[in-house]
Amino acid sequence: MMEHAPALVIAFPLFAAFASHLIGRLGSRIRDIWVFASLLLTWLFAVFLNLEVMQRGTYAYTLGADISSLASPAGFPVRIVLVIDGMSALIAFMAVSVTLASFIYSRRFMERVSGGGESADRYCSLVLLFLAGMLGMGLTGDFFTLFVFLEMTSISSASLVAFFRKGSSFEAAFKYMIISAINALFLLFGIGMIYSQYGLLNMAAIANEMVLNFSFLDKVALSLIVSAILLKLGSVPVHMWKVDVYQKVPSSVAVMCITSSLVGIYVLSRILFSVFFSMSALTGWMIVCLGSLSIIVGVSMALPQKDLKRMIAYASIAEIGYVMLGIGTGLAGMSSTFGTVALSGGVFHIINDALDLGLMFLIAGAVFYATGKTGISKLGGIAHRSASLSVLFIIGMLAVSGIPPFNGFVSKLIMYESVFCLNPVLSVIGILGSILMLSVFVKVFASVFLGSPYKGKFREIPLSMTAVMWIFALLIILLGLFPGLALDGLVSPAVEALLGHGIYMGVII
Amino acid sequence: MISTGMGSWSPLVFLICVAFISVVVQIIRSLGEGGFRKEEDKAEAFFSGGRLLIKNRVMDVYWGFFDAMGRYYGWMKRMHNGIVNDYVYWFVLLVTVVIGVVILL
Repeated sequence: MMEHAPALVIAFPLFAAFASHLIGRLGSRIRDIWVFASLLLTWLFAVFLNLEVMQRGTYAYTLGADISSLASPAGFPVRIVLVIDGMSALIAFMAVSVTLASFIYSRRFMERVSGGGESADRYCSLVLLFLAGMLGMGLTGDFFTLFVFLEMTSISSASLVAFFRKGSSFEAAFKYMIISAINALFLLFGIGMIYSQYGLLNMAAIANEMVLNFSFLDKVALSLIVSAILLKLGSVPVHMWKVDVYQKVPSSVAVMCITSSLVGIYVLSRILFSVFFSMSALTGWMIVCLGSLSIIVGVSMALPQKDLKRMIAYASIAEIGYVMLGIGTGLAGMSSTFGTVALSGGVFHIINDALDLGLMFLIAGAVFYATGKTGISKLGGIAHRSASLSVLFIIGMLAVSGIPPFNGFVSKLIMYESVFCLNPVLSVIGILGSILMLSVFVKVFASVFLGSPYKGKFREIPLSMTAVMWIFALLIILLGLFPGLALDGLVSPAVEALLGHGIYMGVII
Repeated sequence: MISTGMGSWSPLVFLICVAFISVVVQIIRSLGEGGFRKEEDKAEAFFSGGRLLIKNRVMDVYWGFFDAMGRYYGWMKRMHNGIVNDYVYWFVLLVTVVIGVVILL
């Protein structure tokens, strides 16, 4: 059974998504146990994939083939091929872990804000569909399946954005649907251009063809695909939708949306490193420039915000910019040592962003749960009511701002030193961004947590929500104090997988 | 100890340094003026003689920065107007620039 783990890790949450609505008829408790068990099983499959990659190295799984490890059993058919390497296994593990944590956190939160019942059933189904989409995007080895799973994440997340069923939630969901439709359209257009030339959809097979003949049409297709993915991950100048959406979505879903953006970054890296690697210098510089712009605009716009979630949303744009800076430098300096180091920093920052920004959104959700407010000026003195939440905020604040000894510092330090070799100005932008980020969160901390005790109604934060936030915080501290754990165990295999486009093609061809 | 490309980083060394500096700070603090009272004007924020245009709240702590960057924030506010049509215009601009860069360079 475990040989089919690459397929099962996607199929299981997909099945559980549809089944959970039916199981919900038996009672909310049974449904929750079902969803939790499904997520736990999916998590175990994701762990197995990581262990398998450590032992076997990169391998392919072909759906429907007699021998699943053979990607081309009869010529080169149009078949769904999943490619498992250090990077895709890491992304799958991250997506499942965050979703599992988010589900545990959201149980009581959803009971309160939605009143349980059918809306909670819908929530569970959509969360599982969202996860299946992210896993598919992470593991797929062909363009069309990528498009299908991207659509799956877009539709499920748009429904989750409208979850609160208020005017402003509907507006945010409507904007998100328009953006998703445009994103899908341009991606499909780019994929169509490639298919029209080579009659292929498999990424490795297309990369193999492009080595011999890189045409003008390939350049246009590259531009369309890259632009579509940049829209999906919310890079500047196409980041505005992200703020509208993150402000209105439940905090547990915002954490998943952040993870979805990070999966988008993975897809961008996969396409640029493994398919269009002959254009790496140019695309690398492009990603570096957009990443730098994202840092500047994201952090400067976070500063004047008056809503906690909107402010964290802008901070997330800046943090995605840091990842782009690392990955772009990795592309621009592909054959150099500094490029490899920058890529390590970028990949490490993907993990750190999921934890740091995830924690900040969970804290914002807890504040909303306790007070019913997210407006910064309406809050104050929360530290007197919940010391635990204040400590968690300080940990998250220092980690996001890249202050030692937390995890964000390590990945940012690696990036500052390596991007300096590409251009010293990039390091200056990175450091300036971190300073401004700290000033953003210091202001929020003083506004929301300090001052005279909060006078309004303050609901006790449930243990399940607090426990999940503390797990995030402990992981932040652990990766800050022992960064070698992540760098050696998760980041290095991922970087090798991205740089080894020959191995990637060799597995399929 | 991990290598960061041009240097190295050890959280343990950092924590030892923090502990040492904290001890030094405590020693210096213990040598300070014992009769200091917070109620005196000495504890008030010093605004460099500049004009204080707004009430002294935490939310307005960076008012000088926003004042100096007024033109930038004015432009940014127009860019982030919440209208989805404009988001699409920005995407069209991005596609145009990306195609231009990839094809021309």
